[in-house]
Amino acid sequence: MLFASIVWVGLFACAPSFPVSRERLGPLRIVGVGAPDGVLRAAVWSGEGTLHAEAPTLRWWVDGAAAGTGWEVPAPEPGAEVRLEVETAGGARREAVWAVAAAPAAFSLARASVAAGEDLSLGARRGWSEAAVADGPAAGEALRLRAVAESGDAPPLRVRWRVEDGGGTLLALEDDATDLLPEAVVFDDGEVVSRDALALPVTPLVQAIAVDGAGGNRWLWAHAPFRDGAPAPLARVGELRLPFDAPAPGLWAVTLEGVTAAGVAAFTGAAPVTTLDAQDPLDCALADVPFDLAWAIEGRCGADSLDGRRVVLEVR
Amino acid sequence: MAAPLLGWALCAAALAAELRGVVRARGAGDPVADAVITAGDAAAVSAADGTFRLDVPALPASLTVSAPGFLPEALQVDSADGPVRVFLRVEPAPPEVVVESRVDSPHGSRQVLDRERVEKTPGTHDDPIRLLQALPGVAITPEYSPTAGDVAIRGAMPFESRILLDGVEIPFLYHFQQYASVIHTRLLDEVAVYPSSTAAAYGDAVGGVVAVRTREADPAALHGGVNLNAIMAGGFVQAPVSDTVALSGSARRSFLDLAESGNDQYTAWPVFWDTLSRADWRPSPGVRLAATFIGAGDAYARFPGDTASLDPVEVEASPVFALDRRFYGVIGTAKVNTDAWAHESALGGTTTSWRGRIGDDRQDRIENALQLRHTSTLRASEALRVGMGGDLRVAHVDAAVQASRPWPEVGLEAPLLATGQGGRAWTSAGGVWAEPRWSFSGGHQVQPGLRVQLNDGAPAVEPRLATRLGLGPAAGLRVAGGRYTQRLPVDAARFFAPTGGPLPPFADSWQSTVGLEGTVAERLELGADAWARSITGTLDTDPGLGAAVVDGRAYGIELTARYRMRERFFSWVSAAFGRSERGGVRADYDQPYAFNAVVSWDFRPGWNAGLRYRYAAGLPVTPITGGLYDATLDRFLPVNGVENAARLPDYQKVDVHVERDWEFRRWTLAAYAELWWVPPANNVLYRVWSYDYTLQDDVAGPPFVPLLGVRASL
Repeated sequence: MLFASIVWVGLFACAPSFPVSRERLGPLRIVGVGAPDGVLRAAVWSGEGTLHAEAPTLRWWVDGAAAGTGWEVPAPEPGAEVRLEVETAGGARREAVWAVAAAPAAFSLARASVAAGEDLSLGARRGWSEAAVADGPAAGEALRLRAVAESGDAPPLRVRWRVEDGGGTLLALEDDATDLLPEAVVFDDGEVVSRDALALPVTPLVQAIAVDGAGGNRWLWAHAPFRDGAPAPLARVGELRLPFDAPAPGLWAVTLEGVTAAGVAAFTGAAPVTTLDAQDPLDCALADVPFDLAWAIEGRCGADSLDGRRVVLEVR
Repeated sequence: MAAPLLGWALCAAALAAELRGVVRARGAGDPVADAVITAGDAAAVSAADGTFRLDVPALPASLTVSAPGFLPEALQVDSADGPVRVFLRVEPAPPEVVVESRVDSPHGSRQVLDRERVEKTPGTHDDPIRLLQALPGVAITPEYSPTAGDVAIRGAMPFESRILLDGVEIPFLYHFQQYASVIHTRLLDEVAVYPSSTAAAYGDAVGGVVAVRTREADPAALHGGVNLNAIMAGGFVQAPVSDTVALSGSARRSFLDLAESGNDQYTAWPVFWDTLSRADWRPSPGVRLAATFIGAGDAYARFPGDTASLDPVEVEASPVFALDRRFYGVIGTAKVNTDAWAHESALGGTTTSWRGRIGDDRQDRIENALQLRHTSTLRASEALRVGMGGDLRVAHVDAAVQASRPWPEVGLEAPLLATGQGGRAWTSAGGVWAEPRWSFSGGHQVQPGLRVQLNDGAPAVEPRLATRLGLGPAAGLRVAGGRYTQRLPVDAARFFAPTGGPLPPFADSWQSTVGLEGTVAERLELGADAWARSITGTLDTDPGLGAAVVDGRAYGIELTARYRMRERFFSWVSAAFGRSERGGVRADYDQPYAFNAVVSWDFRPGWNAGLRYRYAAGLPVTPITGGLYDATLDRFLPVNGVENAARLPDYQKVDVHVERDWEFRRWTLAAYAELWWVPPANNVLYRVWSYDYTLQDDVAGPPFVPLLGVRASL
């Protein structure tokens, strides 16, 4: 009696609700496997915070044969079957399978502020008026995120969204758009049971992953800053919003202070630079490109290797 | 003295009276002949039309009316004006609830549900067939669970047993989630279960046989009625056409769909219906012909996924799964009895459609079957009876499937969509058999039998033997066994490409039963059965996962005790212990222990109360040890442990039934209330997991379910 894959819905059954859900980044889990740049790439959510205390170990198999470990394993040809095993320093393991396929077009996020009404149904939310914003919504409002392909002729994106635990409630709006409410909304049987506003300000981390269903995966990480008053200066690094003042786009060197699994306590000593020379050498990072904070989020770089180090970020 | 005498005589003449009246049966209103009407020393007998004339010495007069087959009635008559109308109540039938192992049965084991009293048994919801799972050896499954209504007999899979209606196989016995059976209560005569070691008359089953018999219409009176409860409404009618011809019919339909348009999971509320019509003709004494039409169907629509795990856009985009399954059947039966011979034949045709839709994907499974069954019994002497006969079922299956992908989400309801595989096939099974039975003084019997079976053209010789050793006037020992074969299920064998070895020609089973039965003080009946069966070459199917060739075995013991006091009280207890294995692991319906108890009491005239309790081991489930992230579709896949290595919690349930009957001159009204209670610790319908299979929880059924209903009948 293998009912694992069977969805049986009793007419009068009382279904439980779980404290974990697909769109909430909670415990340790693999949240993406792909090869957007010719190298096998994995996104691992540590379950300890937005970063990893120590980098997990990745082991790869391609079509059943061991293909290597780490973060620089070449991607096989499309159609190959990839198996990934992730092991944390604490011994926890997670596994994933993936059918190799070309990644969808690169995309970025368009942001809008929307006033969340009482009715959270799909139809009602489609009627909410939008006001484009660069970072986060107006105080007291929700943030609407929409994935926008960088290539104009790219096929439509099907995006799934995830937000860190305690970072609000995601309500998908379209295939490529979602609303992020700064509230903990509890549903039961499709009905809203409770809505509790988050304590502001808060800047939850969001993952947007485009999945074409055939193996083509691409994802990015974004911050969704919800403020309670006047906006503070934020540096835009990709879709992340970092708390330091970088008035001009370009390369900026910062020192990562107080880096733990919970995150980076402070970005200090921000200064514009023209080369990567200001960057401390890091075993986990690529040397010839600006530091990518996704490496810290996804597990390539552990907090222990980043604390107190100076890195160069590319600010938009 | 002359004057006083004359005065007395005049007075007596003034008080004496001639009463005229008629005696009829209450309810049907039929005249009652030969009823004895008495008033003091005066007495009269009713004529064939029920009329009587009685001279009473004085008015008012106290009359007593009695007739064979009726309860006596007393009444007072104050006036001779107008006819006296007397309505007698039919003497109730003995309160047979479950008749175990009838002595004259040719089968190793036989259990019978009798409609008359089972109607009042708690937990039936006015539907006796729902009590089938109360029989020892039939797996107990929780109502509303994925296995609700599955008839798994003595460790066999449901598809390994046959369900026969008047001798012809029907595809399903229960509506959606076992809300009700497909046959109206009032047109039901008997449900017999032959759990294993059946006589040679039955083939094509390595499990058991459930034989449902519809009721012969009464050619003498009009009957009818309506029934209504919180789930469904229906009605029936039986009408005489002539002295030899009678018609009966019934129809029922659930009605919650009329009030509920759907919820977040069901987009179209489930609806079920059934109808049954029967025409009876008795052209001559000893000859009975009948034609029966039956139809039944279920339909609903729901999201194939769990909406709780989908985002709003996915819910909106999720295609709706719509199910419509129905069957129709026409059955002709003939019974001819002579002094030496008894013949019984059934010829039937059924068409079954099983349609499922998800978006543009669909399964349309149509099965048309023609079936013939004949039995002749020769009463050669007091000591020897010879049974012989044959049966054949030929069916064509057209399993059209259009699936853009397999849909394992609906594997229980639409297996073809779940696998994405279909096809067309003919299938047949039939056999001829002969079985003499010698009866000896002392209650001893020997019955060797031989059945020659053809399963999809593959022959099998099936020797069988049933014996009974009398152990005194009220006890006996039964020993039975033999070989049983069954054609493989068409879909799994032909369309699903079974794994696990070469496809055998048929499933092959050897079975044995040893039973002890006895009656104490004519009120307490005790029974004990030990049974075993081996099965080789059967198919193990999992919804959406295909099929595999496996062997299996099952064994167990069943204990029953029934105490009955005619008319007012019965109680019945059974306990079953057994094991069932398939392919070296627990079988899907392995239930090591099951216990049933029923008490029903007519505690006042017109009142009945009953209590039913059941306790059973939870059915096996396959544990899930974790989740595997499928990055291609951004979802998690379950990592299964050893098949059926875990179990759902034990199941227990209490049902209470209270009924009040009112009898009027020409009709009766019954109102009943039922309540079930399932303790929280035992209220598990099925198991669910979090999206990543790291957390597990149980889905509970409703702990309390009240049900009110009324029945009115002529």
